[in-house]
Amino acid sequence: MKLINADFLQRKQSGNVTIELAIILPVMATILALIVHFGWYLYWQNQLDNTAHRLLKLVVLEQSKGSGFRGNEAAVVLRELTSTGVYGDYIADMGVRFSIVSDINSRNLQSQAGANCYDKPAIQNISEFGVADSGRMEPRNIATLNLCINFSELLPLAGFTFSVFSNGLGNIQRNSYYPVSASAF
Amino acid sequence: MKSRFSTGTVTIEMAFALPIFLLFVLFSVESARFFWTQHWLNYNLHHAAQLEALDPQDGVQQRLTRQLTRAGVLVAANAVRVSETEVSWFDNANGPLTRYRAEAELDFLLFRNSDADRVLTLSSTTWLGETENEIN
Repeated sequence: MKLINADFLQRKQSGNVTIELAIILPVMATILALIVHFGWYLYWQNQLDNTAHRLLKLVVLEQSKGSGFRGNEAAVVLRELTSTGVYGDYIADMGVRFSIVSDINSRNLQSQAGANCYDKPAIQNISEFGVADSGRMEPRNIATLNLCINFSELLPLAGFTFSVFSNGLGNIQRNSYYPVSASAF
Repeated sequence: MKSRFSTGTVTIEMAFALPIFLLFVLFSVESARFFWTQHWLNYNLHHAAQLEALDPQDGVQQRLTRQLTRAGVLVAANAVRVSETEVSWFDNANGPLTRYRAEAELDFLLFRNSDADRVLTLSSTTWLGETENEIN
């Protein structure tokens, strides 16, 4: 029986390892980049949720107490967000949309400032919020604050998905809801 | 039976892989700590401001520091700074509105600035209106 040359085996194994690394490393790097990107995406979603709710509550409570809604609520929220530098240099584009759906006063108020909110409906069906038939909770005035930001310039993968899909991972949009008393109008 | 060659290969592979693996583990732990801290900062800043407005004691900064230390977010050598600004909304017709901004300095192993003090600063902003205190 012919003996296998150990030196040959060693050289062969070294080559295999190099080829394996050449395949695995880019795959691993891509997976890692996706994980990091997704983590950032969720992080900013959470930040937007937090901010949207705080600001919406303030707008509704302050305006309800004062002279009522004026129609420039979105512009005021956008001014506050940009002047505080909440998101620093991360923002490529930002939009705010404030709206109230009312089934009591038949008055729907909507104001928008900044970038487009990427065509997601700001006013949703009122029946989503009220349980009219049960008699326990009537449909009422609901204020919605919609914040959207565009990160496509910050994260390469977000830019990529933005170019491939109509609404890529670079856009984050969150809605917040708060009830408005009928007397606020 | 294993040859001397294969034993050596395993050792060399381990020498390459182990530091990278440990780096990944450290990265994961530090990332989790980053998000956890940010969440606690957001949550506690608003509540500290609200509680301080309802029951004034020694200021929002002290209250927030106490809350974060109690939660284990802050350890020795970490610091929190809170700044308060009166802001004007809708011509300030509806009562005073205060903006709070908190900055927490934390000593992360991986996420360090290039500054000399080598700390990472997390920040959070929240707003509090007079009406909000009355209702809540």
